[in-house]
Amino acid sequence: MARMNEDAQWIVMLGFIISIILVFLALIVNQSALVGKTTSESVLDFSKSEIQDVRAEIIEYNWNGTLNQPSLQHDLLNISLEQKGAIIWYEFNQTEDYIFIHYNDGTTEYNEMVRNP
Amino acid sequence: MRVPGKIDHEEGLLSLDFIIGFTIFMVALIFVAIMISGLLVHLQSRTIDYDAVAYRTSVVLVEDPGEPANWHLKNLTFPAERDDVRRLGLSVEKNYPGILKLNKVEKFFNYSTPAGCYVVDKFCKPEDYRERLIFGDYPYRFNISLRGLGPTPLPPYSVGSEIPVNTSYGFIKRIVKIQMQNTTLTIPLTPEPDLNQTTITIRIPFSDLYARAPPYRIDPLNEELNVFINGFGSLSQTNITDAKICTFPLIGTPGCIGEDAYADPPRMNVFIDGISYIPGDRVDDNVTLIIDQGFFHRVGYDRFDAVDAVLTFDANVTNQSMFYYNYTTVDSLPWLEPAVIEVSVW
Amino acid sequence: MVNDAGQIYTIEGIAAGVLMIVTAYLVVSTTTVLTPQDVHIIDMQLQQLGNDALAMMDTPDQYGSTTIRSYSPLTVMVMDYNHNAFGYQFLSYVNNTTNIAGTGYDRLNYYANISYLNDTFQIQTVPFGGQPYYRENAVKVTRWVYLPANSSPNIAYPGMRSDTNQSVLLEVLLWRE
Repeated sequence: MARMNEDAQWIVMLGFIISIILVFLALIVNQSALVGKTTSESVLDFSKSEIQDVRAEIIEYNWNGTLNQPSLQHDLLNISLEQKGAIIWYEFNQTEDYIFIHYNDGTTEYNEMVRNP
Repeated sequence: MRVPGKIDHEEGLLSLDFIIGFTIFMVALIFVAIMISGLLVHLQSRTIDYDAVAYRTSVVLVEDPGEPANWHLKNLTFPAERDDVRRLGLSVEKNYPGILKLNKVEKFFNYSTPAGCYVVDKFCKPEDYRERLIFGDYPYRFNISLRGLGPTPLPPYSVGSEIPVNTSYGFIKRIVKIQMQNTTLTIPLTPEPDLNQTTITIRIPFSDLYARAPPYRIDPLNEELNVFINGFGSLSQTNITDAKICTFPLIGTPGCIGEDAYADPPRMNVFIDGISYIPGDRVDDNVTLIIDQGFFHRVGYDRFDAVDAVLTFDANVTNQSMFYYNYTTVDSLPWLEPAVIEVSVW
Repeated sequence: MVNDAGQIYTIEGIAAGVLMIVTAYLVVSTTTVLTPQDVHIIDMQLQQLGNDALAMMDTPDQYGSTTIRSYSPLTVMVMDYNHNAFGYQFLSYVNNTTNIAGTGYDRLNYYANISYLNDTFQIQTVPFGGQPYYRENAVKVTRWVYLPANSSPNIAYPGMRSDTNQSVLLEVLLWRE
């Protein structure tokens, strides 16, 4: 009966261990890259300035007294959908005295109720 | 045909050990080769981190009013008040990003180095800024600078270490507008024939002043108020007998507060011809009333109160029973001027 | 003479040699590589700067009188189609620095256009000054501008609705030269 060759077991085992260590290190180093990558990207993804701009525009309508004008609502909706790919919608409820603002650009969705404007 | 016991060079046979070892090694090598692109980024990760910290710091500075919102009134000589300041933000109010308050800007850039800074009304560079603005465990080095772009000359504000020339650093630049104030209520007295009042009463209605949006607002609770009364030279000799601030309507506490109620700032300052007030002084030309920023806050008023500043003389000085301090009577309203802020972190 | 002993040693030696050569090549070649993450940082800085500049131009410097609020400088420039004044002020805002490390003036440039809903309710875009854009790495920043009702809008806006308040979108492409 042919015996299995038991020579070189040490070499195989050490090679195995070293390979696993290499894989582990490469994994760690690879993951550390992801951490840095998403920081600036996520800042760009979140449309903070757009939301601040839309809020400022709608509050300006309120100060000018033109909040109920429907053509302004359609201006915002159509132009933003065509040029920026974002949905902007707002509603003014006179009886309960609040403004509801909705903004959705695909990655960020923003809803707000401005009370007693 | 295999001949047992004879080594044949033309049969592509490998020993089992070899195959196993080779397979394991190749799998590991392929795995590592795929992750080589991750190794590249590792060399740049420090830079990315600093830019994120700089951006976050600039957002807290420019878009946040700070915590508490009137932190510029705190006297940093007292450790309890220094601890009260949790976050240094320069914005004028919560929903107005990019509009800065000049008092906060001046207080922010008023710093000194340890250990002398803990007993004076200055921030400690860099500990106070690290704890209250930059946050995080790592001791970042920073430089924050501001330069005005408008017509009013502002000193070139800067705090922090010198920007390095050989290492990379995180950087962000923001454009802001600073609210400038030069507000005084000027009351010119004239020698009219029907003078019948020995007191000059100035009504300061807080609720009227607070009815305007924060960037254009005169904020009596958090800012200095100035009243300038001149024209005494054209009247007969007058001595000032009393100066006080009374709640309107005059019921309950705190009632009337005299000029001598507080010895340390924030307090009510009265100057007769430029010299500090002593009751009974003769007034030759003018009276200046300066209410320090934070005085009304110290007394305990809120934005719905109204106060009367009452100056009493020993002769008739005016025929008007009430002067008002509001947006139509002051000589100059607050206005905005642009500025640029740069934050560098490394 | 030549036999098949020591196969694994040979393979290991070759693989180790290849690994060392590849590593050395990578280490040497990464000194000048522009990784994608750098581009994001630059984009973030430019975008924040452009949005700040437009927001500050859209803030009136004074309150105005109690009967009529003052318009922001940006509203006046858009109403009058004054793209020269807009360019001058916008570039002044984005290019000035605090001069903390020597005197500095950045090299940013822009291209702007305005989109509005015309009287047949189609979206129309007119250019609003700036330099032509070729291939630079640019970001786009936008600002809504509120135009009050005007019986005779500027002729530079063909078909703009008259006598009604409207919001138009100002889009600015910003890049570093």
